[in-house]
Amino acid sequence: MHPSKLAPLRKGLLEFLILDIVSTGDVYVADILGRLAPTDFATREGTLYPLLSKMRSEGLLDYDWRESAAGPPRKYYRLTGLGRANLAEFRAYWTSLTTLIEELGR
Amino acid sequence: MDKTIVIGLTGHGERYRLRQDAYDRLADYLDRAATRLQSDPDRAEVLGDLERSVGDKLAALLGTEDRLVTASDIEGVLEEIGAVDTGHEPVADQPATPPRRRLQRIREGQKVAGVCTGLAAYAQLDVDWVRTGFIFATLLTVGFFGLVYVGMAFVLPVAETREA
Repeated sequence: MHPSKLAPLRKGLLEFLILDIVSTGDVYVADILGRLAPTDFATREGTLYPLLSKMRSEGLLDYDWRESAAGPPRKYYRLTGLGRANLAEFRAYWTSLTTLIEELGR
Repeated sequence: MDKTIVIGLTGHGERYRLRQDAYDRLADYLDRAATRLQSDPDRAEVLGDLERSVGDKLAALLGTEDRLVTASDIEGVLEEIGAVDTGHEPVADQPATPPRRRLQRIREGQKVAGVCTGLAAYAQLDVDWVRTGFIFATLLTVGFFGLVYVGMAFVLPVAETREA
């Protein structure tokens, strides 16, 4: 399969993977980048910051400033109630989608 | 002698001393980022995030060394951060010129052979005016414009719709 066929799918999924990562507890940007780095969804700050900002303005997540041992304070992200609801909805949809793919291909 | 520029970055107390070419690279990156983020209501905040990140990486790179930041330092840092991607194409990357208009017959909405619809699309006029003009011109020239119409119907290429 041509890799470009999967590109839009991957792009759309990134947001949900970020919800997934942020749901594990307080994370900052380097944690998100580190979790995604070994996967197909490896990304960089130039993509991540605008996306986090958009997700925050949609009310999916929020952040607190925290001091760090090295350097300036960092933004630690966490899910809002809406973010958790979206993630649950996405997981349910994903399960039904994989079931559907299995069934149709049988 | 190379010019040195001293800058501060959002969130960082330290000052960084950049060579002119290093400063130019950074300023260029931030300008592009600002352009791409122009429709983002949180543009200032995202730009601040990016600057803070540049500062983090420069601090890690320099450590305790007290030296000038070079263009290749900045390039390495910006490569790690990556160009700002907002998920939709930036305005500047869209083709600047609209597709060239061509004089052609257009089948969509035609009454006879689509010559008037084609002329109207080409001249960006209402087709009713073009038709009225053609009928008057034909009457005034005792049929000569009728021949012009027939000639154009033969000569012009055909398109199904205005967009084609």
